Amino acid sequence: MQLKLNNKVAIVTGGSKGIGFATAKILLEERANVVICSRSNENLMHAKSKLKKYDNLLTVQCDIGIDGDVKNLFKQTIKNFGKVDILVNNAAPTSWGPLMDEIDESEWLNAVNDKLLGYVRCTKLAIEDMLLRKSGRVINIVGMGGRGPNKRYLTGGPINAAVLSLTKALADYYGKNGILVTALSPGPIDTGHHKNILTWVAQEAKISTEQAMLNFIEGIPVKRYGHPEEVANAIVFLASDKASFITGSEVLVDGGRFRSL
Amino acid sequence: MVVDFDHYSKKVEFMRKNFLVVSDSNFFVDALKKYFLPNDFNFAYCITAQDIDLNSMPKFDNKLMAYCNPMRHEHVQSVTKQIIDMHESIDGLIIFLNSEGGEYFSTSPDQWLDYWNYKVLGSIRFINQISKHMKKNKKGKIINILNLEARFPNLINAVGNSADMGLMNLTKAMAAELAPLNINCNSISLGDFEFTKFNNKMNDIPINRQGDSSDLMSLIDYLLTGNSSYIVGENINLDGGFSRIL
Repeated sequence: MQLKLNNKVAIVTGGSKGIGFATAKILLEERANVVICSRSNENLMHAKSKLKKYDNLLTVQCDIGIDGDVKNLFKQTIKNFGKVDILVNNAAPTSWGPLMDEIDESEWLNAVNDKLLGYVRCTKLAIEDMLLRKSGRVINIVGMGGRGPNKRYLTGGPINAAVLSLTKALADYYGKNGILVTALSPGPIDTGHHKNILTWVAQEAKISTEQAMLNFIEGIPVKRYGHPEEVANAIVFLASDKASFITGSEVLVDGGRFRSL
Repeated sequence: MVVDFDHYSKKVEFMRKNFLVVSDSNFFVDALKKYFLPNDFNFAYCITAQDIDLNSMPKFDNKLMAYCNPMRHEHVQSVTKQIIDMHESIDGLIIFLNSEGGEYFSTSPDQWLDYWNYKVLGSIRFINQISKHMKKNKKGKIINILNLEARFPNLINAVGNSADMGLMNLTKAMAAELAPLNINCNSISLGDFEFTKFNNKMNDIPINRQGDSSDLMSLIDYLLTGNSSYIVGENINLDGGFSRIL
């Protein structure tokens, strides 16, 4: 598909591995200028070495939970590429496991600051630049916990639900300015993050992790985990001109697992 | 003579039951007092605000009212300990905190975090303390009252909308954890009421009127009684039919 992304400038937060990395790679293949950021310089360097054949890549170390880091990310992007057309808010996966009274107060506040407010920080600066051209895309990676609350995902679920709420409000307000805001919720993806979840599921059901995985896969209509590239393809589609009438929507890329209206 | 058995059985159900109400809305507290007769059951009220002095620890007065800042763990702990010491059991917790969190453009990340700390974490602090007690007694009802606007989000109240969506999600997750212990956790999303602010236009309410406090009180009444024991993790839209969404 011709996505016409050449010369577009995209920022992918959490772009050093998993879904973020796969997204950056496809955007680079589509000839977009891509900025990836990560808290870990080591992960960034590793990603950079894997993407060394592309000359249109910039890496910036950035913790989206810190105002100054986010400002620097956008400053570097504008300095190198002159604008921001696409923002993929993908950083800060939230943790699984503890029940309500096992969660420390600081853990709650950190989760709000790192994910919800991290997305807010990036979005505010991205939209500021997008408004200059009355054009832009913001794609928020949410996570199924937003729609499907889980007692083992107590910090992540509410924050993902809040990101969904913000996505719809931003889409409503900025649609008139040519800025489209969408959400994408990946289902079970073979990134290693899901293995942690299965450990809890197995522990609770008193079964082995392998059995928990088989049971889990049985509940997915396509009978397998998804791959980061499959999610990345959907993200890049949403970032392209082909998705010009999609805004405020949440796209599920989950092999059909979530069957609620 | 006709005996209203339903009414009678409900009174028996309520008798000797104790409820804690956490709210920053005087209107809501007054409406509760008017609707529920104090002879039938005990309500204690915790009035909250962000600007309550963090150093003075809250204390219930003889009208069973205490003033507390839910952003402070020690305040919540003190209030819940007092109410548990006063009564043998706490049968219900109702939380109704302000849904006006602020707009997207001018709210700084710190202010955003403060509001979440007040509303979402404040609710969690109360639920954590009270549910520990309910877990021991293996019974209880928890009701979070939210604003329906969260389902139709806008940037005018982006902070409040996102927090309410978070609480809606949390209510369902907590319900899954607490339901096996006979503790029901549900939420109510209020549409256009005389004491709520709805930033979207609500000119298409099928019932053709604004909600009033008795509409809310009768739903709270229903959710607090044993007759609603199979309603778990629900978010009930109380909106006169406004939200026609699946």
